[in-house]
Amino acid sequence: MNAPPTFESFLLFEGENKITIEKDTKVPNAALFTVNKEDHTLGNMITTQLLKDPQVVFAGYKNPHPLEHKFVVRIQTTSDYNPKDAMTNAITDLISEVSLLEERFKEAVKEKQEGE
Amino acid sequence: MLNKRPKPGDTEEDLLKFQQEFLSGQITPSASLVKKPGDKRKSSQPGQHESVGLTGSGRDVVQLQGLPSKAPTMSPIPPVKKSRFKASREGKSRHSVSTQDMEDPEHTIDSHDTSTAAILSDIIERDTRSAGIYFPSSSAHGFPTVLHRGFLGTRTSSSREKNTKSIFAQQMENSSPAEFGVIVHDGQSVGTTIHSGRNRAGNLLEHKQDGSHILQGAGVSKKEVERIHYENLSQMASMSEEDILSEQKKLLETLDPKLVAFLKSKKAAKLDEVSDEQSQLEVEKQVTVETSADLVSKKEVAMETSVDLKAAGDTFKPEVTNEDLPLEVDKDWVHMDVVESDKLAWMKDLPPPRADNSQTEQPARFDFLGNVLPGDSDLPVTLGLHHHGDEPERAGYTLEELFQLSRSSNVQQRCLALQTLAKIIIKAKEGCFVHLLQSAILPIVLDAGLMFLLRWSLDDSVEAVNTAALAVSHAVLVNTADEAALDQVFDWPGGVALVAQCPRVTVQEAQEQSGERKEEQVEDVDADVLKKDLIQGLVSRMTILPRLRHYLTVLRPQAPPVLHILAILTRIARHSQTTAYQLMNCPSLIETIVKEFLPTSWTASDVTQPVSCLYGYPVPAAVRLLRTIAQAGRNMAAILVSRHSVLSQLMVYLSLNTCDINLARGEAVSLQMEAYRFWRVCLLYGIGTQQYLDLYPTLMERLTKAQGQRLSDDTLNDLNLTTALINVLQAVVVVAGSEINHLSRSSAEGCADEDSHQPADLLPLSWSHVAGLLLPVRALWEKQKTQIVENFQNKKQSLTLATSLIDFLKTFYCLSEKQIGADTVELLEELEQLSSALINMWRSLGFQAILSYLSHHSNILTEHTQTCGESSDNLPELTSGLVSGQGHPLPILQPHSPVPFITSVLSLTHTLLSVVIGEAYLTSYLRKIVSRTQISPLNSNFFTKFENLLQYYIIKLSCLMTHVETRVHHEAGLCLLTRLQYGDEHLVHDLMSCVIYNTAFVRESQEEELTREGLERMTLSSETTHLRSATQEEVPGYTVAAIEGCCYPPVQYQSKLPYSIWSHDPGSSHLQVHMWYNFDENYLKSSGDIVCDHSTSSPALVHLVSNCLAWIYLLECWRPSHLAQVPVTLRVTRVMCVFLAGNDLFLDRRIHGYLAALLREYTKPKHLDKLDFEADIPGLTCFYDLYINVLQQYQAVSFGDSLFGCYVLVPLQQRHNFSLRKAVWGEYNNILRTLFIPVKELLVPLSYYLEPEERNVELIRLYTQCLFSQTVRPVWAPVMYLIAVHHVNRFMYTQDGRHAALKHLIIKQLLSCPNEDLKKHLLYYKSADADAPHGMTLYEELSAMRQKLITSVRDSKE
Repeated sequence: MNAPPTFESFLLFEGENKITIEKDTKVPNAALFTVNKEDHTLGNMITTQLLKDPQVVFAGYKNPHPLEHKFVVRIQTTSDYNPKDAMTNAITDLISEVSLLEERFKEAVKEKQEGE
Repeated sequence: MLNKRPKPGDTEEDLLKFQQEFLSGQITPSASLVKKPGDKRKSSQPGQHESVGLTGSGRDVVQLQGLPSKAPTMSPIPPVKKSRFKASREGKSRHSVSTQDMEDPEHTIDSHDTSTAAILSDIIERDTRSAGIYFPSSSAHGFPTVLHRGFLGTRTSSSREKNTKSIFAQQMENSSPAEFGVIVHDGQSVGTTIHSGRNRAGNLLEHKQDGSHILQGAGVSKKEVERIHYENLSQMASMSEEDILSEQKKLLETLDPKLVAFLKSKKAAKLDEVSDEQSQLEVEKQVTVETSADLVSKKEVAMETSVDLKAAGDTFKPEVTNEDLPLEVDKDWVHMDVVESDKLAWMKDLPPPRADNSQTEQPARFDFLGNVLPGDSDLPVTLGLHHHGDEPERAGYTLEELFQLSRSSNVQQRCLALQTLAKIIIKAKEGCFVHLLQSAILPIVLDAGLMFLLRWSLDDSVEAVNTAALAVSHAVLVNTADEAALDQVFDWPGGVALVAQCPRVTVQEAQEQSGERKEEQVEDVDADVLKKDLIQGLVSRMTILPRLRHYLTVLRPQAPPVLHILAILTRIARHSQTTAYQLMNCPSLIETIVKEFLPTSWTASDVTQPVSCLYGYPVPAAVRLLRTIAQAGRNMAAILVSRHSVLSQLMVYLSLNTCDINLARGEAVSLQMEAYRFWRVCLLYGIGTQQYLDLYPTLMERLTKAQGQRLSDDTLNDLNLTTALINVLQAVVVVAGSEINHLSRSSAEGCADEDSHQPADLLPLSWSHVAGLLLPVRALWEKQKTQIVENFQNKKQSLTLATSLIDFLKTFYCLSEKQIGADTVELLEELEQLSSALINMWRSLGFQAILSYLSHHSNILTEHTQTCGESSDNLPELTSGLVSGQGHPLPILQPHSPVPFITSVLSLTHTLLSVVIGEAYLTSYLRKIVSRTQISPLNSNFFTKFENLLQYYIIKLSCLMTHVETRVHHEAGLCLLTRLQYGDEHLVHDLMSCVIYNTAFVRESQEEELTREGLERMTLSSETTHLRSATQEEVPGYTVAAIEGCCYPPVQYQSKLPYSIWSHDPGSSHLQVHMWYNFDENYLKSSGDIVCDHSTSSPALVHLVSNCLAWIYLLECWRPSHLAQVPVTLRVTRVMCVFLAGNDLFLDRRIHGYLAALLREYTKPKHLDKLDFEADIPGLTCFYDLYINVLQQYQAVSFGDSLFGCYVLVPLQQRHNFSLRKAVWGEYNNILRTLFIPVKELLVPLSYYLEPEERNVELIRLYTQCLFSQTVRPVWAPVMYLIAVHHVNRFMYTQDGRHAALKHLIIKQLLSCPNEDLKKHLLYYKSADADAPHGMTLYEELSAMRQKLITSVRDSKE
């Protein structure tokens, strides 16, 4: 009845940004990234990827409320680096990793089909 | 010759041929049919047949008219009993016959087995064609009337000639069939044979001794025989000669003359021979008239007493041997050749109660007075305490048995059981059984459905049962000690207010209902309601009120039940306002009580005798009931006064002098007391002022008379009456004072309608009406004061009068200031006089003595640590009287309790002047209160309320001036705050705003404590400045201004917060100590939800939280003893909640500082050892859930904050549950990436994490996994790395022979591990050392053993 339309979980509202950055005032070299219309799937991936970065001091994400389709990533880096770069690098790495996965998967499928 | 026999291959023709051959050949068959002989009886022993005829003819045949003509008989001839004597004679003569019988076995069998033969013989269906069909005869009585053998003589006189018949037969002959309920049908002769049961074989030996004979029956023990003999002798002696002769004659007539002759001859021959029971009687009749019937009844008595033994045989299977039996088995007894001992076991005497049982558990048994009988008490069976099946040797009855008995069909048993139950419950409530029984009795009996039983018994038609049931109800519902205590307290300051004595559940439900207006609630069953709230169940479900009214109006019982009913009604009225109202509205209940028990005139009776019927006499208990109802609410009081005109009745009693009331003196005094009290309650509602004006002359006369009286303990009645009078006058003064206010207000508004709602005839009471009271009261006070000042140290006296006098004065002066026409100058003069008098009194020895008793009479300081009286949750009581089990009242209620007096004095002084702070006794009293570490169980007791009031005044007074002891007062204030009860909320508010957050109090301690602390911290921080971690962060330096800053704001929201806390549990009549924490958490949790939306916390919240934390920290380091009552676990968990409250709340510098300081506080070893996360934490379902939340929060938002990390680490110590560690190392091992806490900065000693060594294999696996997968690294989480290495290393090298495969696997993996550092650490780990790199020292070289182990694993790999 009063259930929100299902597209709300993945379609950005009018004028809504996919990602916003906010600097944390209390901790040095730290920032909050709010990613809209995403959930644990991406949050967990990004955070895990960030934590692999030795220059990242802290990375964590939180879904403020299960009905709010967004998550907040908190990143703190060493002083010679900044959270934004860390985020960008993490995302780039993730993309290349995923495309590698895709490529290999396709190869494997092709091999399999040729094998037949 | 062999016959040919048919074979399987033969055809039909062959078979026919065979048959022909057989028939023609006349071959004798192998088996032949013979006709069975006919009736064996006829052909068998003629001797027996004869004897049957002989005995048969000798039997008495009883015929009753009107019975069916032929009774269906199973065997054609009834089993015949012969005289044993005769049989033995026959046996001799038959000897020759039996030899003949031997030759015919079939015959022999048949003769022995007549029954089978009879059955196997012809079975002829009964010819029913000619049989008449009768309607079932209706009988007049259900059973035949009982005939007594003793009446024989009168009946037999007519048929003397036939008197050789048995007694029974004679009796039958004499009685008409109608007596047996048989209706005679005409023309039907009915005959039935009834055999007299003379089968008792008495093997009697006779002894000749002075003409009397002791008969030894073989069924009876020797002792029993002797006893019977002596009884016979005594009975003989009591009879006259004629009686004896007539009895003898009677006996002779009934007996066979041949038998008599035989016995006589036998006696002459002095033969010890077997004789019949008849012969016993025969012999006996020479000297004894004991009939066999008596003997039989004797035996039956013995049987009854030993019945229990039979049941006992089931339980402990005694080896019954012949020696145990009370009888010797004679070999001549029929069917006794094999003695079946177990069947005779019931005849044995009871074994002595086993003493060893008294040590072990066994069901309690009670005697009829309600005492517990110890397991080894050996009581005679004649007390009637042994009539039960279980444990037959133990006297008394269990509760279960009493319950059973109370449902017996026997009225006496029901009464007895109920009375016993009542006594048991009374004793249980008094706490007599505390040391005797394991569990409380009252809850057990209530659970067992006592109330249903009572309802059932209350409806019984027998009045005795009703009375007993009322007694039980009274015992259950009414706590007499409570009632007495409430009466005592009534005259104390603040004692009129009544607390609703209903269970917590009811209060909560009432609140819920008012909230949601009864939304289709599922109706509870009666039992559930009773379980929740006994009295509500009784009133609403069991309709006890109409039942009780029925007793009062219809049955009109004797005095005790009436008093019980009144007491029960009083308790019901105490339960709550609702029930009191229901009681009020029960049709004609109050009317009856007023009519019957508050008459205006009554006949003078003998006042010395106790009254047996209370109807038509004034009953104090009834006035008490009405007073209790009036106390429940103004409306009810008004109804009582207007509709039932109770007050005018009472005025009749009050206008008379006690000696003029036609009652016993004690009754008259208590009647007047109750009348005064009822009036006082009404007056406090503003009702009944008219009566004051009417009765004014009498009251004044009483006052002046009281001055002349010597009021001391000797004339306690007068003293109490005067006290009650003064209290009434005080109430009058209150009304008069407030009436003026009311009038002035209404006149100011210029509205005349205000008065219209008041009855027109009610004259408004004005101040002038009461002004005259002051002088006599003051005179009375002077007199009391002199007595106290001069004498109290030597001779204690009752302080009740002095208390109420002071209260009166206080009220009077308090109100007189506000009066319009008051002469202020004169008033001031009077006040000055009074205060100087007070100060004089204060310095007197007498008053000092009173003050010195204060500690002794304190409820809070009492040494008794437990209350012994039993009570049940669904029937709350005030548990007044019974602290020590010996019936000592509570300390505060003990005679000469100074509490009310000092309270009054203090409140008077408070209204006049503040004089007395710094008083040594008061201070030492407070000191004791503050320094008490153990929580008294009486803290929540209702009567402690009065002590709280006293302390409140002391503390309030101390606010008025600065002095040296502020610390004690402040602490006492804190203590008091936690102890205050439901209904004292205004005190809490006052205390909070005036005392708790008063900087005057805070500043004092600040200066000495906090400067010292500040210094400590300075040194600490200077030592650790080189460390960057927040744990060593400097706690914000305290300045006076800072404290003020953190103390003032709480006042603002605390003033509204405590009420919200109260609304959470108003049922609990006192505040919990951890209020601070509750409030902290409640507030944080609720605000935390809001905060989550915002990325940053609102400044207001930060402010609030930091203030709370500051306050907690202040308490923590400044009043540690006060917080000791709150478990450390609770405190730690509440502080952890702060992290959950906001995403960056803990990053705020101030909050961070306090959290760090608190952490340091909590990680002191004394606190660490007390931490127990398994324990029940109020407000949390389990700690694990909270911890998981904390871990998630840490993962998401912590920024690797090391303070947060330290809190996360606290529950990971080895002594706590391993599931917490598993959560960190398993599911949430991402944490290990950011949990950067250097080993050196760990606040908890490292050994707490390392010892004892981990034994849990699952955890070891997780450790290994994390180590090998590089999840935990020394760079990221040094402490965790150390912990993992330590435990895995220790596990690897443990030589306990278990988990060998796992160890092998770990070493194998380790050897192939590419990470050389980890390999080295794990293999060469020696011990933890915070100063070494990675926090661990390593072996230079492995010991031979370990080396061998490693090589063996390596070799096995290859």
